[in-house]
Amino acid sequence: MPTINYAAKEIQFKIVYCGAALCGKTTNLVYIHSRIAPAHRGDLVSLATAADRTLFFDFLPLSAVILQGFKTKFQLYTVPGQVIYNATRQLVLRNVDGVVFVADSQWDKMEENVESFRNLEQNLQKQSLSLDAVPYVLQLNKRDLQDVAPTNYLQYLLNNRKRRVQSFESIATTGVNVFSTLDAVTQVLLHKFNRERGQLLAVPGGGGR
Amino acid sequence: MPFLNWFRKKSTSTEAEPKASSADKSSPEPTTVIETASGNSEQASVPDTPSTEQQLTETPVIPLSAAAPPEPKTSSTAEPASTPHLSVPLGAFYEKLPPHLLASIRPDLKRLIQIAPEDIVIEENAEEATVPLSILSLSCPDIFVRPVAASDEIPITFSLSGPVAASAAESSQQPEAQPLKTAAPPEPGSLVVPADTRPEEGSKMGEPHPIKEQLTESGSPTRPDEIESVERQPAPTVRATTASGKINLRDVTVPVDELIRLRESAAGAKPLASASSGTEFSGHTSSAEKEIRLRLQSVLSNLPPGLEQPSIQDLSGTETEIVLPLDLIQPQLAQGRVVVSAATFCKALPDDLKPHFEAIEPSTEIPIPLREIFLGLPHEAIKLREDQEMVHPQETIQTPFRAHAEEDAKRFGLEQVKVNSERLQAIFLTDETLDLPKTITKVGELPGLRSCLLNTTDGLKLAGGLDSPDQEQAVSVLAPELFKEARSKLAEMQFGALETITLHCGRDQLSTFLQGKLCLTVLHDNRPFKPGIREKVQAVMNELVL
Ligand SMILES: Nc1nc2c(ncn2[C@@H]2O[C@H](COP(=O)(O)OP(=O)(O)O)[C@@H](O)[C@H]2O)c(=O)[nH]1
Ligand SMILES: [Mg+2]
Repeated sequence: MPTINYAAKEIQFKIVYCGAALCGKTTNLVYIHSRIAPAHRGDLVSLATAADRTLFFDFLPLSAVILQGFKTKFQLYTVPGQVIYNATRQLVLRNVDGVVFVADSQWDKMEENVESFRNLEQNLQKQSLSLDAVPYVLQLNKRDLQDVAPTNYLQYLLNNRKRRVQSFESIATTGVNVFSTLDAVTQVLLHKFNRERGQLLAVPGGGGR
Repeated sequence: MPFLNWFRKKSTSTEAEPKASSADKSSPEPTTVIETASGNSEQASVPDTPSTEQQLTETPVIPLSAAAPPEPKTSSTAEPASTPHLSVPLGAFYEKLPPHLLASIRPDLKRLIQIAPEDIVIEENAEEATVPLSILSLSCPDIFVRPVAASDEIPITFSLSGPVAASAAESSQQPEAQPLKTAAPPEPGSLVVPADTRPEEGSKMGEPHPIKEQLTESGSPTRPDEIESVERQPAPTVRATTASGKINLRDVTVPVDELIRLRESAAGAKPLASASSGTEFSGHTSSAEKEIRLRLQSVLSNLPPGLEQPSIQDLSGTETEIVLPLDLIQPQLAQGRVVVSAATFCKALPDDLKPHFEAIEPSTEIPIPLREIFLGLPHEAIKLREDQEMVHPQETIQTPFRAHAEEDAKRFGLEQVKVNSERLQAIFLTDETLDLPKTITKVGELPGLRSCLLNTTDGLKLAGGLDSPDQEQAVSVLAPELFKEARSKLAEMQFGALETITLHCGRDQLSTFLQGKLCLTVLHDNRPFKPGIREKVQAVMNELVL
């Protein structure tokens, strides 16, 4: 659920990058960070653990007013992929507005992808959220590598629910489809927000455009 | 368990079996047939091709009722017989139909409906047949609440064995089933096996098969040269693109006796979960049936460290293949991991190799590499559920990330494709706003197609995808070259503009469209274009501008 600050006319959305350890979540954020002008982003904060990292950064968007006169901020997080950090994952997922599930396309990562996806579902359930209700998109990452599974198998593993979500084949290291993924999840999230809560913005501030 | 009288073979599934050892999927496919569709639908010149008129008379006929069969052809030329119709009991597939399309009154499941053989693909050994839903709706419109639209199209795969099959076999004695008998070419043999002469399950593996007795040329085991001879038949190799699409050699136009013989040899050769001891790797050809062939070497190289005993390491370099039931593997695919117990694994080994694995505890899990499985996995095995709803926002909201996405697309060469959403909406009869990825997804979902890839003629992938990255890479190189070559030759021959090239490669067929710097490739689902689909894809191409 986004945070709305009526006084500052600011609205804040939380987007979380999920996926197995080393699938490329951090690489996504590093790339996004590198491409956004410093004036429009905060620092990329990495809370490093021994083998994996949790990242967090604030992002002030270029077009500050996009929703009925409210400045819209996006907080992008990654969750630690390793199984042992589930408590952290749950914390990061709290009040999530949108999810990018990053899949590692390498053949030997298929099981980890599936497990990570299930873990995401379970963690959302713990907050009484269903994946069906959360805006999310799928990113099939590392498509530049040789030993990768066909995308239709990844779709079968990760996108075979009643609701089929958008998916992007990406190369996070070079940035291919990194912003398309972020753009897509943002769109789904804003659509949901407009549908369900858009009227909230209009009430206290009366600030429709 | 009896076979149905309309049991026909998908010849390609066995064709590679007797081939020389090779792990390479691209290794000698006996024929790769190139079809071209030029702007005026003229047929490209290919040697050994029957006259265009001849081919045009053989377009599939889908009867709306159990009409009288066409006269059997008795011609002794190599041309295929005119379309016989296959009788299928409703019960064979009724439960597989999307419930929301079914009329409320349940029909008599024993009722036979007629399907043109061109429209049905039978997986030999697997005892399964696949028919597009639209074909079924044309064959028995009364059981549907409404006509099946393009967007409803799905392949319906059903079993040819079991109780329904038995009832069908009984029904085959009825007059409605007669078309099969009369329409089959009288010369070499018949597709029809009377129910009472059909073998029980147990006998199909090794014992002589009654079908053989119906063959004029006896059912000798298939040899590679026989397959060659089937595929070298000049008549069926190249078809003109007609309004009703192309006819797939592998499914339809191979002489019936050859089909039966191929099926025979395959059925006798490979009991489930048995080893084909010492056989050379033949390219996972049994995958289209209910079993999957794996190179032992590939499984061994993937064993967990604890299992890498010296007795097993000795086997490095083995060319043995093992066969496992697809039923054992398929349910595990959704987990992203496939294992079999050591006991099952050992059973699948040839006797001479079993001692190497004796030390392994029978319940130990042996991982089977997915990569290996996918070399021969039928694509239906990972079909997405049929009731899926795509979630694409209808309108585009300007996000702060869009500009970056567009900039990146430009940088990576993905940008310049302009799509005319309104015109594309008209083509696909949808209100949904269509961008490039959605459009390419929709092309891949057209009836009879299973995937679609758009790339530039420089090989840069723009949207969609094929079955594997290797395929995509190969196609992105091959297709522009083929077009270049073919176009220059066709220009000399004063044909119309070349729009499409279709390649028949074993059980796969792919068609490529090339326009300007854009190259669009579709993989077909079992057989080439259904009526109007090629034109639809071409129309989409016309709306994409680089
Ligand atoms: N080849 C390739 N490597 C990638 C890609 N994305 C990430 N990586 C690499 O995968 C490793 C793990 O990435 P990281 O972003 O730290 O994964 P995380 O655990 O999900 O945060 C790093 O070495 C990355 O450089 C990609 O698209 N292609
Ligand atoms: Mg990380």
